[in-house]
Order: sequence, then C-alpha cells, then structure tokens
Amino acid sequence: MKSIDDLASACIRCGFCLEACPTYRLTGEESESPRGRIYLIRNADAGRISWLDTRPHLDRCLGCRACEPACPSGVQYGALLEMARERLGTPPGERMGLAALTRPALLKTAVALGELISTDKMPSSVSLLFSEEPPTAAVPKVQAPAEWPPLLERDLPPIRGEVHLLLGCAMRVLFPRVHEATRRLLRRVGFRVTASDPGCCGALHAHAGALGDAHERVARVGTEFDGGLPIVVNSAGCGSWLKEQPEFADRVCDLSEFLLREGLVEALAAGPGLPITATYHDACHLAHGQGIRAEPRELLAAIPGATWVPLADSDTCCGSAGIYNLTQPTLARRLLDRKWKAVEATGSRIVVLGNPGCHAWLAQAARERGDRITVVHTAEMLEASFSGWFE
Amino acid sequence: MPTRDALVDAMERLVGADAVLSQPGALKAYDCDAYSLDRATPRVVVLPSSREQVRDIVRWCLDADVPFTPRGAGTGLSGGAMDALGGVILSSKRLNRILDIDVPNRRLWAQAGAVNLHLTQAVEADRLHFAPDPSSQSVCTLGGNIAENSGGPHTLKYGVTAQHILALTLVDPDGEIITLEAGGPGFDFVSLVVGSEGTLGIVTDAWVRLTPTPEAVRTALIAFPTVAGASQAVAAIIASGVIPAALEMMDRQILAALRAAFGLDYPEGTDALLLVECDGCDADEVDAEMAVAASIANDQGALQVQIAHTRAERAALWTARKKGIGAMGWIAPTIITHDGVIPRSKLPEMLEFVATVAEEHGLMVANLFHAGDGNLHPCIAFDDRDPAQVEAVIEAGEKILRRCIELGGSVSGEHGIGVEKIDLLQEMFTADDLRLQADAKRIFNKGGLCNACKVLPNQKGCLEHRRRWRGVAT
Amino acid sequence: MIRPTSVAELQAVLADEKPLWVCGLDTKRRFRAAPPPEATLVSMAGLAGVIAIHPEDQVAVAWAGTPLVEFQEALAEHGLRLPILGEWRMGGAGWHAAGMPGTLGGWLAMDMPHVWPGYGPRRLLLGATVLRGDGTIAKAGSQAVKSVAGYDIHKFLVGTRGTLALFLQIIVQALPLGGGPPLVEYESGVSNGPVEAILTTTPTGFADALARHASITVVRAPATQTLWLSGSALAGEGDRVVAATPVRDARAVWPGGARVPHAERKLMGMAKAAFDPERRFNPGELGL
Repeated sequence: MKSIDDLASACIRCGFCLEACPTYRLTGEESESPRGRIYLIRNADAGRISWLDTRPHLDRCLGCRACEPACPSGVQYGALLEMARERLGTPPGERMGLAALTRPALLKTAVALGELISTDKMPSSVSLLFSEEPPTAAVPKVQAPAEWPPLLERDLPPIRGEVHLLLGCAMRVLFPRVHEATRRLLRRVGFRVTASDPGCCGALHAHAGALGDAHERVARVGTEFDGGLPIVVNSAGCGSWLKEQPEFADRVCDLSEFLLREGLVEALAAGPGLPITATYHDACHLAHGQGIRAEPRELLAAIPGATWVPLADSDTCCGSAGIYNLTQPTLARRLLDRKWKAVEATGSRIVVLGNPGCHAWLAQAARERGDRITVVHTAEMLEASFSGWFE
Repeated sequence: MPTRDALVDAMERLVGADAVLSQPGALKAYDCDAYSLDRATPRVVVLPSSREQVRDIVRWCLDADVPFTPRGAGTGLSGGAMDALGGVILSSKRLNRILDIDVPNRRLWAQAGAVNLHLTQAVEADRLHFAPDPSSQSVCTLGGNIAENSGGPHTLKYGVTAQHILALTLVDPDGEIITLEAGGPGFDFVSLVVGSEGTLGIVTDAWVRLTPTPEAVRTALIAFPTVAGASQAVAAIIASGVIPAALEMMDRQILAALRAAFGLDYPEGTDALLLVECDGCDADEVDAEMAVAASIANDQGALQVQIAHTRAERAALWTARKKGIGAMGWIAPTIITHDGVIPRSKLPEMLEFVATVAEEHGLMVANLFHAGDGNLHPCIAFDDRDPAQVEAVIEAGEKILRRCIELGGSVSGEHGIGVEKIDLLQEMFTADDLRLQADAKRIFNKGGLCNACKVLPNQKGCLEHRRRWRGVAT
Repeated sequence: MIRPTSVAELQAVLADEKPLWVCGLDTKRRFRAAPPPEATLVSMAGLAGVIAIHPEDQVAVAWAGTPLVEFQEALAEHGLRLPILGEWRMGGAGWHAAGMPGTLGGWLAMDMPHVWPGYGPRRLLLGATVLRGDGTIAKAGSQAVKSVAGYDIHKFLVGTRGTLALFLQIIVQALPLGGGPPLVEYESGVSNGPVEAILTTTPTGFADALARHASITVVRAPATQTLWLSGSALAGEGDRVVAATPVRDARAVWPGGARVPHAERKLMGMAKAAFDPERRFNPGELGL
C-alpha cells in the first residue's frame, strides 16, 4: 500500500494539470488546482501546515480526475484525494447525505418528500447539512418507465452467456429506465443478467474519503458477484471504483465497452434507427477514470439516421460530481451553467451521457429551461434505436 | 511594511474580496513554481481582472514599500514566479481573455493570463498559429512567455517569443499604464521587457504575431548508435542550409525511462534518438529537405530512419520527445530539468561531461534537448526528501552550467535566471557587465519591489532569503 | 573626424571632456540629427576586422567597424551570409540611396529594416561588447544562439543610435548561403530619388500604401511590409518627417524621433539617464 507521501511526491510540479481542472479554470486560483492540492496534502502530511488548512481546498475538488490523463508523471490523484479526505474525516452533514443517497430506501423517502415540496428546491434543513451557501440542487425526479414493447424471442440471438449487472443505489431508485434499457441491450447481444445484487458498491463513500465504509461495501460486491462472470456497470463512478479493486478489476466492464465488444454495432445497423440530432457528454469517471471515450461514441454513431454534434469541452465536469452540487452549490452551479451553454450551442435536442450523477444534474438544468432538451443515458438512447423514442 | 491585515484590507478595497486570497492554505499553494527547491509563502495573492486594477495594486505597493511578484500559471523552472520576500503575488489568471483577432494583419491581442495554446486554438481555422511552443504550452500564459522569452522545439526556425511580440501594455515603474511597440521609431523597450522575468513592470496584455501554419509537415525519428553520430548529423543538417522546424535529441537514459514508464521500445543498440521536423508551404520542397536530412543521417551511421507524413504518424514519433520528461517523473520521486546552451559543435564533448558529473555525484541524468540550438536540458532524478541528494543535485547542476560558460555558451536558454541561477549569472558576466544590466533594471524598477530578488538581486532582504533556502531540503 | 584604431585610443578620446558624435562610414547621415558644434566627431571604422568565424556553429565575431560588404565576403568564404538588404537585391544606386552599406555597428545602431520576416538584427545579434560613457567596457549575451541569461542589453541597444553605449565587437548568427527562409522579392519603385524615410506597416496598411504611393516609393518589400520613400512622398514637420499621404498602421522606422509617444519618450529619457548620465554619446540624437 502506498502512503500519502509516496503518491504526493510523484508530482513534479510541472503544472500540466492546471487547465484540465474545472475549478482552476473557474477561479484561476492555484489552491483550487490539482498541483496546488497535492502540494497542500504533502505539506499537511509532513506536518508543515495543519490539515484543517487544506480542508476548504480539498472540499472544493470535484474528484473528476480530469487531471490524471493530463499528468505526464502518472500521479494517482484520485487515490491520493481519497486518502487525504479519509485523513481529514468526512463531515457529519456529508455523512448523512451519503447515507441518504446510497441507501435506496432512504433515497426513495427523500425523493417522495421532495415531490411534496412545490418549489422543487431542496429544503434548507437539508441543504444546510452540506453547505452554508444557498442550495442550487433540486430534489431529483424519478424517471417514468418507458413503454417499450416486450422483446420477442424470435427476433433475438440465442443466449450465449450470463453477466452480473450492478444495480447500485441511486441509479436503481432514480433511473429505473436505464436499467431496463441495459437488460434489453444485453439480451440483444445474447446475454442474460444474473439475479445477484450486492447493493451499493461504496464508490461515493470512497470519493468522499470514507474508505472504511467503501471497502466494506466493495467486499460485498466481491462476494455476491462470484463465479468469474463479467460485471457490467452502467454508472461511470461505480465502474471506475470497481476497476480499482484488484480482486475483480479485470471482470468489470462499462456497459458501452461490453456492448461494443459483443457486437451491438451490427445489431444497431440492422435495426430501425432514430432520426435525431444529439450530442454526447463525457462523464468524468468514464473519460478520465476509465479512459472510455471512443466506445460510447462508436455505438451511438451506429444508430441509423442519427446526427451527432460534438460538444465543446465535452469532458469537463458538469459540477455534479457525487454530492458536490450539495457541498459546493455555487461552484457546481457555475459549472452546470457552462456545461448547459455548451449543450445548447450544439443545437441538439438530446444530450447523452453515462452516469447517474451527471444525469440528474443536467436533467435539472433541462427542467429549469423548459425541457427543450432531453437528457438520456447511453443505454436509453441505444435501446430507443430499436424500440422507438419513449416520451 | 504594513501589517498583514492592513495589506489584505487594502487589496480587498482595490479589487474586491473575491479576488484576494489570504487563507493559509490558499497562500501555501503559491509557495513555489515548477522549480521547487526554493520556496516562500506570499502574504496575499491578488487576482485582478483589469489593467486599472493592476495599476492600483502596483501604486499601492510602491507607496507602501511592499514587494510584488507577477505570476501566470507558475510553470516556470527557475523560481521566477515565487514571492521571495513574502509580499503580494499578482496573478494574471483572471486576465485571460483574447481581446481582438486581426486575421488579415496576422496579429492577435490577448491579456497576459491567456493560455499559450488558446491563442493558437483561436486562429486555427484561419491556418495561423502563435509560434512559441514551450512544452507547458497547454497551460502556460502569454504573460509568462513574455517574461521568460519562452522558446520550444519549433523556435529553431520560427524564433523565440521576442520575435512574436508586436506590442505590449505594462504598468510602468511610476504606476502608469503604457503601451510599447516593437520596431517603432524610438527605443525598442519591448526587446528589453521580453525576457526580463517580470522584473521590469507588470505586463497586462500584448499584441502577438501570428504565423501561417505550414501546409506540409514531415517528421523523422532517427536512431543512432552513438551520441557523437547524432550530434554530427545535427551539425551537418544545419550546415546543409536546411532550417528544420525542430531538431530534438534524446539520449539513452531517456529511452530507458520511456521503456520503464510506458513500455516504448526503440531499435537495439540505439544510443541517441534524433527528431527532425521540416515544414513549409510546398510539399515537394519539404520532402526534398527531409530527403537531405535523411541522407545525412544515413551517412552518419543511422540505425533506423522513420518518416511520418500524416498527423497521427507524426504524433507517434513525437511521443518520445513529449513524454520523455514525464517518464523520468514516473521512475523517480523528483526530477529537476536543467537548462544550458553551448555552441552546437561542442555537443558530444558536453554530453560526455554531463555523464561524468552525474557519475561523480551518484546521480541519474538523462538528456532531452533542442539540439539545433545547442540548448541542453539535463534532467536529474533524485529524492527531494533526502538533503544529501538535494545538495548533490545542486552541485552537479552548477558544474554542468559552469562548463557551458567555459564553452562560450549560456547558463540558460529558456528557463531564465529567476532565483535559481543568480550566482551563475555572476560567473557568466563580470561586474562591469552586470552593471550594464543593473542600469537597465534601474529604468523600470528603481526600488527593486517588482519581482524582488530575481535576476539581479538589489534588495536587502534577498541575501537573507538566499541563505535560508539554499541547499535546504523540504 | 577622429578615427581611432584601438580601443585604448577610443577611450582616450572619450576621456576628453567633449561629447562624442559617433558614426561608422557615415552613410546614413541624412537620417540623423546634426552634430552639436562642441562634439568631437568620431568614426568607428578604424576598429574593423573579422575576429572569428565558426562555420560549424554558424556564428561570427567581428569588430563593429567592419564594413558590411567586407563582412559578407568573409562569411561567403565559409558558405554563410547575413540575411540583410544587399546590393544584389536593390541595384547599386538603390542600395546607396537606402543608406547602405556602411558598417556592422551602423547596421545595428540604426536598426536597418530587414528583409526576412523574423530574422531581424535583434534575432541575429547574439552578443556584443560595448564601450560605456564612463570608459568601461561591458559585455552582453554570448555565443549561444539562444540565451535568456539576464537582460538582453545587446538587443535593446539595437536602434538606439549610439545614445546609450557604443558597439565595439559583435557576435552574430549567420545563415547558410544556399538555404534559409524564402527570399523576399524587392520591387523597384518609380522614383530614383534618395530614400528619406522608411515606414513599416501591417499587411493591409501595405496594400493601402502601395495604392497611394506607387509612383514615389523607391523600394518596397512585401514580406516585411516595408516602404522606402523618397522626398516627394514626404511632408516635413521639424524633425517629424512623415508620409504626405497617411499610410494606415504605418510606423516610421526612419527617421527616428518621429511620432514617439509621450510615455515612451519619458522612458527613453530615463534610459539615457541610467546608461549615459553624463551625456557623453551623441547628444541631441533622437532628441536625447
């Protein structure tokens, strides 16, 4: 196990990460940059400054890991941040927020309560747990089910294998349609999903520095998802975290990787397609965390009749970043506004992405601006190519 | 000197609280730039967003006798953006807009904090670019390029930053905003300010020259069995009349690092790699130039000559050059990249000297450099947590640079003097030579408050600062 | 006119109380102010000669008083040249009319407009030894083709017309005879009168000027957007000689002193006070 000092001393201070960092680009402040944060961690670790002095700056880090691909000397920033956050301790408010988000029963209650509030705004009794700043995140909405026709066995290839599907926590409650689309797509390339369900994988805990909780949860994933079957994940943050676990890292695939490898492109080409104009947003934990940029694009480009408009700065964080939009409402909102402006500039009616956090956050932006643009998961978009649009 | 609180209050009055950093963590992040052996924490960091705010800050500092240090992205390699005396850091990062683009006249007007690469991206569609391309170009700022007179691989043909600044606006020694034009009818103060390491006033914005992007580009990566063979090829290519756009060399240690870090492999028996790039508007002419270079390389005993024609092939050949320093960072806890220049013909002799010095001090040194300019970048790997190693690194670096002076070269080709090479500058020049430079500094920087203790220290606090940091590990 | 042949001799002249009015071969007299009556006239042409040529490094060292013609010939023997305005481009009369050839030092001190974009004297001048007003000798730069060691005083001195210090020896980068950037085509204009002003403009300003001054330019260089203008194109206004018909974005390279903005003039005064406080060199030049 590497120490904080080992990880931090890999930084040669060249600064190549600066422009990759959304918070540095917004503020121009080096204490809000990867290099600055690494330096602060290193100094706190050596006892030259107090850990408390690093807190505001580590709290403002999105954990998007856009700095990692930009780093020429291979600093493992994500891992370093998690260790530093663990050292700092997760604040109580954040702990409660994590609990609410990652326990499906609690999240369902929270969302149901949210439905009762007419303003759509997070009540201050909740938001104050995370930040003294006025809240900018609304209570997320639960997806309506899609009215897709049942799959007909005669149209499908024979079953050739089974996979585990991580149902997770927030995705399960907020985006049931994504899971449904995922199952249908897997079946379209000849795979059935097992019944194993380890629950929350602990990714959000890890990113917040609650490493004990995180490891407890990820151990459950290892036990439940046994038998050497592939583990398919349709949530970027969870996928990125699971791929860091040496016990089963080589079995974990993002849905887009799996579908591309198993021949969905051919199936798409044979299907009816969809005459839409759309754009694709790179979730941080796909693009930076897993290096997955080409796979979803290749699949989406195979949808007959679809036109894809590139999104400017498509791999810059939207500000959702786990529970960042709760802990840092002001910065998160500025990032969302930038992202949404870029989405609107594409002239697309649809923006596609592969992570529940970005999904809820961008969907809020869409709602606030009159629902002229729809936010969908890659799985939903691909399934719509076979089964038609779902609104 | 005013108290810290008074200083923060004053800055907040001038630019607003949200543009002033005074929390201990925030200030600590400004301890040093990419040269990390010398550190000092500023008392306050200010992020102005207009020329007028810069002027107000400078005037206030002049009145209150507070040192002020300009800083862009902090990617400098000689400590130029470090606030030696603990005063005000003036960050340009909220002065980062491109103000005007004049395509017919091939010029662009941008603020000092604009990122080098963003200038090129803004005019790419018009087949133009901003030529200086330091390896930090994706993050470093125009203001920093002006301060350091930045180079890069392609400056062999296109010239360093000084050749690409048409006019600049700075806040002068009296706190006035003035605009200076290059090549005008009076003195060319632009030629003095560019490369002055931020000691001659605070540049707020500049008009830069845009260079037509060549239509045809060919890149060759050539493997040589000996460094001497590669060096002779460099001299012969230049003498042939071909002016390559870039002529870069990497030695065996860099190749070993690339292999260890990224699994990159090069032909068996390679002791040096030479990257040659030719460009121009006529593909046939460029091909002919490349043919000359390739035939020279073969005459010098090249093991392999790979020539790329497409953008993707070129990028693959550039990998060795662009990832070389990073690869050193992968395999060592800390690296320091030195910078010295010698007459091209002395390359083999110099590289041998570098290897001997490294051995004497028990250090790992790799060389990756602008061979066409004779601009060496010995990169030393070490662990900065070990004071003995830090000491050895400093000594070895100084020996190498002293040898550059002896060979008629310079102690810096790109990185600047900053705080790192103040002593070596004194060895390169006599007292009378330095007085000539000090006179220039006096025009713009009478009290020495503007980027105090850099290049030519003329502040009483500087000596004490130097004693404190020299040779001391973290 | 005194023509010292050693540095010691020059220093002895300087030791005299009178200020010095310095030239090389005096080929650019009409672009300069008039020497003050009390000044000693000094030619630097006695301190001439090529000191070293390093063809493998394409670097040459010479005394500043070396005639350009001689210097080019010496370089040519090694397959090298300085990419500056040459007789072979302009025709003999035009060359002399434009204030060429003169000496190396004169080329630098007067900042002759150059012919290759990006290869002006400030790029080619790598180092210099200069004589200061107090009689001391100082060096700036080195033989390295690229250097950021300290302030580039040698480059700053280019175009200061000997008002701050005098070039004694210079180190320049030469280019191969056969290669280099594409040559600039010089177009001879209609008038054969002597050149009395040189303007540089932006590309659009140049196009504009060609339309307006086609019949009265002596020479024009499209690649560097430089116009050499003869008398009839000019309007005099004391020392402010400018084009009679305004040229868009034009800057008068010659004669100096024209249209120097106030703030810059203030800095010029400060530079003079810092470098030559006793006003030993070329008093009155550039209004200093």
